[in-house]
Amino acid sequence: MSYQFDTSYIWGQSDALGAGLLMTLKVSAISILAAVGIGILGAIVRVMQVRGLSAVVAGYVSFIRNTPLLVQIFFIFYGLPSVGIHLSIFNSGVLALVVWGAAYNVENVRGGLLAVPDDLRDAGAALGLKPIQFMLLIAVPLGVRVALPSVLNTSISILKNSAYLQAIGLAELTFVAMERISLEFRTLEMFAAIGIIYLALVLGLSIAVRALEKRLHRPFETA
Amino acid sequence: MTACASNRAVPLIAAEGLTKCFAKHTALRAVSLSVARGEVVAVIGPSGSGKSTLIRCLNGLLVPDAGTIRIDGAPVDMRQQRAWRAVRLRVGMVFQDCSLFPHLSVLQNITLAPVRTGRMRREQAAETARNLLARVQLADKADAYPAQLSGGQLQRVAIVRALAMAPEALLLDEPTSALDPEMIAEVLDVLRTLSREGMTMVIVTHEIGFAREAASRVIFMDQAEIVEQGAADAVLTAPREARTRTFLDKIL
Ligand SMILES: Nc1ncnc2c1ncn2[C@@H]1O[C@H](COP(=O)(O)OP(=O)(O)O)[C@@H](O)[C@H]1O
Ligand SMILES: [Mg+2]
Repeated sequence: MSYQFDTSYIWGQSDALGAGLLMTLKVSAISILAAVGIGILGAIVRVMQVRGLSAVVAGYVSFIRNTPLLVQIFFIFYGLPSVGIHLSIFNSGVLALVVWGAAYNVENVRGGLLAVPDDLRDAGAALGLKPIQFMLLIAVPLGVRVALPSVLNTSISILKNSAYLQAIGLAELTFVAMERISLEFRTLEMFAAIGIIYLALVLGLSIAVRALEKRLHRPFETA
Repeated sequence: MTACASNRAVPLIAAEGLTKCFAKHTALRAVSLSVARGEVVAVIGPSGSGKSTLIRCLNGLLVPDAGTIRIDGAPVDMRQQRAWRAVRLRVGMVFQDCSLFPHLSVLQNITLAPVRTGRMRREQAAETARNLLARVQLADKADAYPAQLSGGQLQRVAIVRALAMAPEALLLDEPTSALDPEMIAEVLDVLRTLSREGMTMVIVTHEIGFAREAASRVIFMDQAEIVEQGAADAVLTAPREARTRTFLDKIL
């Protein structure tokens, strides 16, 4: 009962935490954007049933969704070098989060694309558009709008799961906290501090996506 | 264009023996239809008789199981999507539920296909679109989104969208059936003008009055077949077939 929660300790660590925060932001932002892009591509391949590729994407999605993220991270960081692929810690981390998040986004966006009405497909075809043109000009813009809430969920998960990258030594927020704790044992302060930072990041991301959602919904408002 | 002028005798659309089945159900049974340039053909008949199936087979939205289609004399290779796309560039379509792209403005809806299919440059397409919009009294709606328009306005935009491709013919599947009564007239007005200007049209409709005045020919379909066809007045006023009479009695 003698533990003294020391707020000033946290402020004293702001440099270290700031550096960790920056790394978390960087690795998450890159991973979220790439996972959205690849997710859209994968969903297009699935929905258009591109011969051969579609099955490959389905297999990839199933593999990623049914194995632990930590195993995937270790596979990339420790496994790939034995087949001659050497990636930095940062690149391994980004790759792991992108591969993981894109798999979920394939399913998110696929759901959105399947919600696009057949009437619109007929209208596009009747106008002489090729299937790929319809997909890119009509189905994707509409489907992504539908998928946005689930894409947001996946993006939040990517942000939170960036904490796993401390396991391969990426100096992100959680890694920094663990390191300070191992030196100074201010466990409660450190976990409280990064907990609040993660919370703020997730809330900020949600607010940004809600704003985007509102912006994208503008054409659908009556009068 | 010279080929068209010299081929007045060749029908613009000539379908022979079109058959289309869904699972075990035959929606279209060996139907033949020939449409000359400038002709307005009204297709009438009870629900489920195969009217939509027929006109969707004419531009390949449904691929017929059997039969042939010639456009301006040239046979369409019905197994090739590319061949169908070539047909669709010449023969436009308007649907029952306007089916505008909801995330695009009216102008974008209209210019999308002309630009993307390489028909026109962007500025030219926009100018064409604005001219056509003015003709249907919607010049002020170019920058509106579909969600902001009434049903009648939406359908007029859908017609303009098809016209922007400068089609040689239009297929229309019940273009007024989804509209509130007070909006039907504004759409029929546009179609009447088009017919007067010589646009070739195949129009599935329940508007018998419109068919009588605007159509050069009326086709009555029932149970996947054409039961009767002829001059609008003849078929609508003095049908030869009992089934036609029964249908007309029911809807008039
Ligand atoms: N995509 C489809 N799948 C199965 N049956 C269909 C399909 N489209 C139409 N049909 C059937 O084919 C018949 C003709 O339909 P349709 O051409 O839409 O009739 P209409 O337009 O005259 O009302 C109907 O019995 C309908 O149920
Ligand atoms: Mg129909």
